[in-house]
Amino acid sequence: MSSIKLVYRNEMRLLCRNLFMAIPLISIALCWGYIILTYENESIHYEEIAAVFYNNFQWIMMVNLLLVGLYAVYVAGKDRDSEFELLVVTYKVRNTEWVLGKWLVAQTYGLCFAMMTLLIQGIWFLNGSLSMGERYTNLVYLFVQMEGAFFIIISFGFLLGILIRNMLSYICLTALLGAVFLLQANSYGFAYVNPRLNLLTPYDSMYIATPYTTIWGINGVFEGAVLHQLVVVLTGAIVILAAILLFHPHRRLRMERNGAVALVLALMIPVVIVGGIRYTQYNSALEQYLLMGQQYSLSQEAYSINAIHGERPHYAFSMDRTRLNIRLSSDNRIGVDSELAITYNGDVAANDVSLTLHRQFKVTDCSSTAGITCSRDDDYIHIHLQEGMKPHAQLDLKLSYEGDVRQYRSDGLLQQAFVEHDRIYLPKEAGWYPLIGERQLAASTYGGPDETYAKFEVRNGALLEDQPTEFAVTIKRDGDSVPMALTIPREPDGSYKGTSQYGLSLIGGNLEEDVVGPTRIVSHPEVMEGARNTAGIYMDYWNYIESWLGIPMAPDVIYVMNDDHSRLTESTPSQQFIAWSFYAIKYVDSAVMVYALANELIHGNPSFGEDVHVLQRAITWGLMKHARMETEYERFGDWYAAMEGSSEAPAGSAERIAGMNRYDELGEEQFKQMVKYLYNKYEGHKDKAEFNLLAELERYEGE
Amino acid sequence: MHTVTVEGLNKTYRSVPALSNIHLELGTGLFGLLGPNGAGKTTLMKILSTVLPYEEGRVTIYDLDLAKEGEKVRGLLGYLPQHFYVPLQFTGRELLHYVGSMKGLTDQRQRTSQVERLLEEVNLLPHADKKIKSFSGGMTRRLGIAQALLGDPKFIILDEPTAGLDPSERIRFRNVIEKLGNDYTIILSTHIISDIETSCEKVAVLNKGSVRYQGTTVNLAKRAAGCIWELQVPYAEYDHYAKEYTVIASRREMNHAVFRVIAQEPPHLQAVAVQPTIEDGYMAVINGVTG
Repeated sequence: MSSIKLVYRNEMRLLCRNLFMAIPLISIALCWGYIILTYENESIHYEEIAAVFYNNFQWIMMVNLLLVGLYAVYVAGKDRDSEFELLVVTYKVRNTEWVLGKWLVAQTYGLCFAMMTLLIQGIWFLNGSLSMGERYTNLVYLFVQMEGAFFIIISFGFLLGILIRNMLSYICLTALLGAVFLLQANSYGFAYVNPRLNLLTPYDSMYIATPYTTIWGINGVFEGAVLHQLVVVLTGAIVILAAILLFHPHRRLRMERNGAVALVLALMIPVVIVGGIRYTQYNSALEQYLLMGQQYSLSQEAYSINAIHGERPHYAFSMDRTRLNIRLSSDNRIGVDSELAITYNGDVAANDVSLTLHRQFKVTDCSSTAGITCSRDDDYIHIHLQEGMKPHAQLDLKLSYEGDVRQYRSDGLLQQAFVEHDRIYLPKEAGWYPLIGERQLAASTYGGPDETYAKFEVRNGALLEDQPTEFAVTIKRDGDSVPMALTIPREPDGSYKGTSQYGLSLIGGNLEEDVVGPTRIVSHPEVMEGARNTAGIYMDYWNYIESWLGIPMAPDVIYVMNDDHSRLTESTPSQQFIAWSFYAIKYVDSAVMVYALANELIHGNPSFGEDVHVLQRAITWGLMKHARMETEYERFGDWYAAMEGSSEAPAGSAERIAGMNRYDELGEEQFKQMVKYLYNKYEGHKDKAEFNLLAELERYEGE
Repeated sequence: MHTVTVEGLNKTYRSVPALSNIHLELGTGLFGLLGPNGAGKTTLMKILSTVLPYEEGRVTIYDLDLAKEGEKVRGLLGYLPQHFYVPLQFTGRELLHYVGSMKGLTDQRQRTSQVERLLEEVNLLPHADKKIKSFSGGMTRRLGIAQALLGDPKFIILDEPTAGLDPSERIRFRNVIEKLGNDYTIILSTHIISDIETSCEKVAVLNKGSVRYQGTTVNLAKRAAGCIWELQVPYAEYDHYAKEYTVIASRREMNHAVFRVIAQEPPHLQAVAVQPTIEDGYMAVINGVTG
C-alpha cells in the first residue's frame, strides 16, 4: 500500500506540473460559467436551474468522459512510450502497485472534473427553490453518475493503454465512447435496437433526454442510477484488475495473480446480483410497456380517428358524483374506497352499466343497495342490475379497489403513473378512478409497419367526457408528504372538492400553486413567475375569445410539467385542464398563438371540409386584429388568398371569402359578429363536416 | 565463485532467434560485454534485468532462479538502459527519491542519505533541484548511473554507461564502478573498448546471438596474436588497400597511409606483425580470424 502511495504521490506531482492538463478543466469551467450567466441574466425564468443544469450536463458529461478517458490511455502508456517503464520493471515495485498508483492519479484527475461540477451544482442550486434534501440528492446523484463513469472509463483506458501499444488505443477508447453516445441516442423512447442495451452505458441514462423532470426533480431516476453505478464501479474494478493481469505478465507475482483472479471472481458475484436487479427493474417496465402495446392496439385507421376526434363515450349513463377516499403508500400502491352516483339518461330501462378502471387494480368490493352483480373484463367493470334501471334513475355504487399504479410509456423509460414518497403522478389516463363507460385508456399501433424495436407507437387514450362530475376526494398518505394538487381545488380541511368535466389528475412533488384570473397554476416554484407571465398573456386572448364568441376559454387549472408528461396529456384536449411544458411557457409569440388558439377552437381536420377551414382562418384573422399583428393585407380575403398561396381567393371558396370579406370592409365589429354567428352554428353540428358556411352566411344576412 | 550463471539461454522474437544457447559465468567484479549492433547484447541485458522473459535455459543470479524468483532478483538489481528516459518534470533529487522508493527504500532517512551520496558521486549535487528537462545529455546520463546504483544493488547492468560523458566524468564514473566491483557483479556493455580495457578483467563477445568469446581481456587480445599487421603504402593507393583488406585502423604518415590490418596470413610482403590490443582481439573474434 505504501508503494502505491509513493507511485501515486510522484505521478500526481507530474500531473500537477503539466499545465496542459488544466486546460480541459478550465474549458469546462468556462462552459458552465457561460451557461450560468446566460440563465441568471434572464429577467423571468421559464426553466428551473436544475433543468438547465442537467440539459447541459448531458453533453458536458460526454466531453468530460472523452477527456478523462483519453488521459487514462495516455497515463497507462506514457512510460512505455518514453521507455521509463523499461526501467521501472527492473525495480522492486510490483505490477499492482505501479498500475494502481498511476490509475489512482487518473482517477484523481477525473475526480477534479467531478468535484468542480459538484461545486458548480452545489453553489448554483443554492439559488434555486429546492429543499436541502433535494440538493443533497442532486449532489449524490451527480457524484455517483460522474464518478462511476470516470471509474470505469479510466479502467478501460488503462486496459486499452496496456493492451494496445500504439495510437489505436486512443481510437478504441473514442470508439467506445461513440458506442455509448449511440446507446444514449437510442434512449429517446423509440429505440431502434433493443433498449435493454441502454443499460450498458457508463452512467445511468435510463431516461428520455434528461434525468430532470421539473416538479419531480431527479427522484424518478435516483435509485436506478445508484444501482446502475454500483454495477459500473464493480465492473470498473474488474476491468482494472484485468489490466493489472495483462501488464508485463512475466513479472507478475503468483500472489498478485491469485489475488487478482480471486478478486475478479468475488466481484463478479455482486456484479451479477446487482446487475440482475437493475436489469429486472428495467426489464419489467419494458415488458409491461410491450404488453400494453398489444393490449391497447388499434388499427391504423381507428388509431387516427381516435387521435383526431377524441374518445367520447356517447353513453346513456353519466357519472354525476364521485367520492374517493384514497390511501397512497409510497411503494407505488394505492387503495381506494369510492362512492359513485350513476344516472341513467336513456329512454328505455337498462340492466347493464360499464365502468373503466385500469386492469392493474384489483376490485375488492363492488356493492350497491340495488341488487347488482359485478364482473371484470380487463379494464372494464360490468355491472348487471337485476331489477334494471329506469330512465333518469340513479345507481349508488360502492367500489373499492387497490393495486400497483406503475405504468410506463416510451420503451419503459417514462413512468406514466407513480406514487412514491417524494413524487406522485396519477393522470386521468392511468385509469386510477372509475370512468363511466368502456374507455380506451391507451392507444397503440401494434401490428402495423414500424421500424422501432417495440413495433408500435403508443399514446394516452383521448378520454373526453359527455357530462361533468361532482368530485369529493380525500387523500391519506403514508410517511412524508409532498405538496399535492388535483385538477379540482383543495378545501381548507385538506380534501378536494369540485365539479369537472375533464376529470382528475393528481400530482405531487416540489410544486406550488398560484392563481391568474380564474385559473389555478401548479408549477415548480422556480418557474411560477414565468408560468404566471405566460398565463397572463394567454388570459388576454382567452378573455377576448370569451367576449367575442361567448365560450369559456380560460382553463380551471394549468399544470406546468416536463415536456414528455405534458405531451402525453395532449390526447385528452380539455378546456378545463392544460398541461404546459417549458416550451409552452417560454416560446409565447402572438404570431404562433393566434393559430394555436384558432386550432384549439376548430381542429384543422381536412375531413371537415373547406367551410370549416375558412371559418378557422376567419377566427385566426380576428385574433390577429386583436393582437394588432401587422400584415401587408388590409382585408381578410387578401390575407386568406395569400395564406393559400395565391393572389386571389381560391375558386372553390371565392364566394364564401367574398361574402365574409364584405363584413370585414364594414368594420371589425361587424366581422366579429358574423364569425361569432358562424362559429355558433358550426358548434351546433354534431358532424362538423355538415357545416355549410355559405348557407349559414346567407341565413345570417337574412337575419 | 560465480554469482551469475547463464545456461543454454534461448530467446526468439516472433520465431527469429535473438539469443542462441548462451552460456555465461560471472563472478564479482566488472564484466565487459562486447558485440556489434544486433548481436543480442541488449536482449541479454533485458533478460538479466528481468525486463524480458525467455523461452529456454536457466539463469541464476546470486543463487536466485531468474524465472521463478524475479522479484527477489530485482531487489539485487541496478540497471542503466542504453536509452535512459525519465519524466522530465521531476528534479534530479525527486527522481532519485521516486526510484529509491520503487526499489524498496521505504525508510526516508536511509533513502535521503543514499540519494545525497550518489548525487555527490555523480557530481550532480549542485543541479539536484533543477528539473531534468534542463539537464544536458551528460548530466542525464550521470543521473541514470545514480539511479542504477540506488538501493545498494549487488548485480549492476550498465548499457553504454559512459556514452555522452566528457573525459573527466568518464574517469569519475570508472572510479565509482571500480570501487563497486570489489563486492558486486557488474556487467558493462559498451562500444568504448577503453572502458573495458581499463576496468574489466573479464569480457564476453557476442555476435549474431551467440557467445563468441568469454574470458579475460588479456586473452581476448591474445586471440588476435599473429593476425594483426601494419602496412605502409603510398597514400594515393589508400582506397585500393582499404577495399582489399580487413582494416582495423589507419593513419597518415607524410605521404603514406599506415593500415592496421587483420588477417591470418601476412597480407603484403611489406606487412609487419604487431602486438594485438583488446580491440584487435574483439575484431578478430567478430571476423572469425584467430591466431
